[in-house]
Amino acid sequence: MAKTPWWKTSALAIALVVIAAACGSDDGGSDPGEGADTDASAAPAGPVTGDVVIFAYEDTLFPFIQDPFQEANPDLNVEGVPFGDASDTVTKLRGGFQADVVETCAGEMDQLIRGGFLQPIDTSRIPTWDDIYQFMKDGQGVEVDGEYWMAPTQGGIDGIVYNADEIPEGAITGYRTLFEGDWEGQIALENDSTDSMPMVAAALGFPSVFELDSSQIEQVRDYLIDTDRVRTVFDEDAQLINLMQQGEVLAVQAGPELVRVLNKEGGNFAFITPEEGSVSWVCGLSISENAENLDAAYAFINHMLDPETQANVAVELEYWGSNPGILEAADQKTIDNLRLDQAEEVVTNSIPELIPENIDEWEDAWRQYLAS
Amino acid sequence: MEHAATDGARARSARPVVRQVFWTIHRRELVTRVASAIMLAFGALILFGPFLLLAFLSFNDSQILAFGFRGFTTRFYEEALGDAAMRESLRNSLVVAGLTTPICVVLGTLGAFGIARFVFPGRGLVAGALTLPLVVPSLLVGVGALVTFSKVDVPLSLYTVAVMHIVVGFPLVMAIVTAALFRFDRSLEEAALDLGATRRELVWYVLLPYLVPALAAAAIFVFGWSFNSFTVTFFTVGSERMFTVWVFSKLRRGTNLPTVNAISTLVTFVTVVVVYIAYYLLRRSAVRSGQDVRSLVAGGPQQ
Repeated sequence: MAKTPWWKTSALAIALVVIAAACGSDDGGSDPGEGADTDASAAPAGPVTGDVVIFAYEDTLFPFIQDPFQEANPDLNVEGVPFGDASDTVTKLRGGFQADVVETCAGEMDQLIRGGFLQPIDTSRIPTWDDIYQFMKDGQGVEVDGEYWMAPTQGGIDGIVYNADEIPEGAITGYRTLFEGDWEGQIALENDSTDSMPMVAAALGFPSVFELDSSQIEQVRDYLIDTDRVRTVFDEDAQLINLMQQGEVLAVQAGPELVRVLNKEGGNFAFITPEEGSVSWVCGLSISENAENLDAAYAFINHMLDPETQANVAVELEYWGSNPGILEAADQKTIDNLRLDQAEEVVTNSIPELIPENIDEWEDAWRQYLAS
Repeated sequence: MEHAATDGARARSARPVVRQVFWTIHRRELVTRVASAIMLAFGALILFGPFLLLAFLSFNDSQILAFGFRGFTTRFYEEALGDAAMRESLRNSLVVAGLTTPICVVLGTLGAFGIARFVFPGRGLVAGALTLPLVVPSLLVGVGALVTFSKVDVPLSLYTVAVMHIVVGFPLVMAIVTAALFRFDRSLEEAALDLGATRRELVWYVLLPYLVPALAAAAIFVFGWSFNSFTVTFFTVGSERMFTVWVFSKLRRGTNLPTVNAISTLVTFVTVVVVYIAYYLLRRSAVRSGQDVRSLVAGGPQQ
């Protein structure tokens, strides 16, 4: 009997493996792992077990956040997967990546919810839910169609940061004066249509800076193309910090934490809340549609909502917390620096960050501006 | 006598011309050398200047990467090396690159032999298909791999990263080794066979020594690509950290830039040292075997 060629045997083996793998898989939603809870009526009591995948920004995976959570749940295998950009989150989830908890911000909620990558939050499993600042629960993407999709854990505002050595106090009062002031080619814009175009919309006096119609978008685009105030468009904070420190850029839309970073290095920078209103942002945690360990997912969310954790986040990362209990847990210096006791007042009077419904038009206009 | 006198007069009158020609040639050579040196210095400045500047600033005691030297410090190196996530990511990236490189070299060399030495229907098509991973955008490769692994229920891990690095890496080796094989003088093979060498001896004693510079160059390229890969790595890694993903996620906060700069400087320095040592060993081997040392630079002798 003739010997079967080796390549035929190998091809058959490979085919069998592929078929076995295909038959062994279901439609992508794996069976709940150990520790998963099928009873969603109560918060998990005591330490949780099993595996949990936390898909979040790097700073949420820092030891000062993860270590206490791990200590409280010693039999839980915590896998932290970092990402650096919201678009990475959406793309990776879209590709089938399995995670239990996903860190989300208002910007990508619409895509994630419509794409079916998240599941609604069961607020009964979050004991501190009613304590969370209402203004954060009102953020875009937090509640959609009567269901909550994000447990807000952090927030902040963006205003105008400027070089106080070069720009006298009072010279900049808002976005209009930012774009019309006497600093040709010395402001920077973030390379994001929904971050930068609202500034121009505010400068042009449009009433609703995140809800622009086609004509208004064109006006914003044309204004940007014609203006000679913009020095550069930046992608990363690190780039912006260097530009401001070197005096290449004198003013930018940013959060107050940028002032502290720049002034630590001997700079003299100041922050103002624009007269048109500052833009507020809210981020938090959501539960992935293919989450396998709901107990652990909710345990982590509760951990992030804990006032102690939020106080640590405020100190280390300078973000506002969403639980008013942070005012008891944080030290007075942190409260004063971040104006934590004024968070509600400041944000209530701010412009909440939204993702426009006609975002494609925004992106087109932004690309046209960059191309010019 | 008269002729000798005439010849002597001619010679004497020719000396200024000779001197003039000599200095003209010498001046031209001098100008060429100076111009070459300037071009080389300019090129080196463009290529290495930014890196040297960043290396210099990595010792600047400032959270901001800018001029204004505020004092010498190694704290950013200490911070980087003290970061457990960084150490884990560096180790994982080195392991994956170290694992994929020899596999890519073997697979790529075998592929190169197949393309260079065998004539079969569709050879061009096969060659093109095998080099597709080099031209397809890495985003498509990464996302495609993620979707595939998800569909066949293969959990993401360092193994999935390694598999995709091999998929993209071995065509790189194949391209380099194929080029070397096409340049190889086949008469040397025939001579070896005529002199009684077996196929194994032909490969071991004739072909492989010739291919060593190309294989070394290919291995360095693949290792470098694997270590520095971000897009494919990001979409195919699980919860394990990889160095490029660590860098990208760290840079979300501007205050981390000096730390990232410090560890990047260290990694680059180590890379340069390793590559130089490899080149030195190859050179020494070439000198001992009487090979043309200049051939090491181009990744293979020119025939």
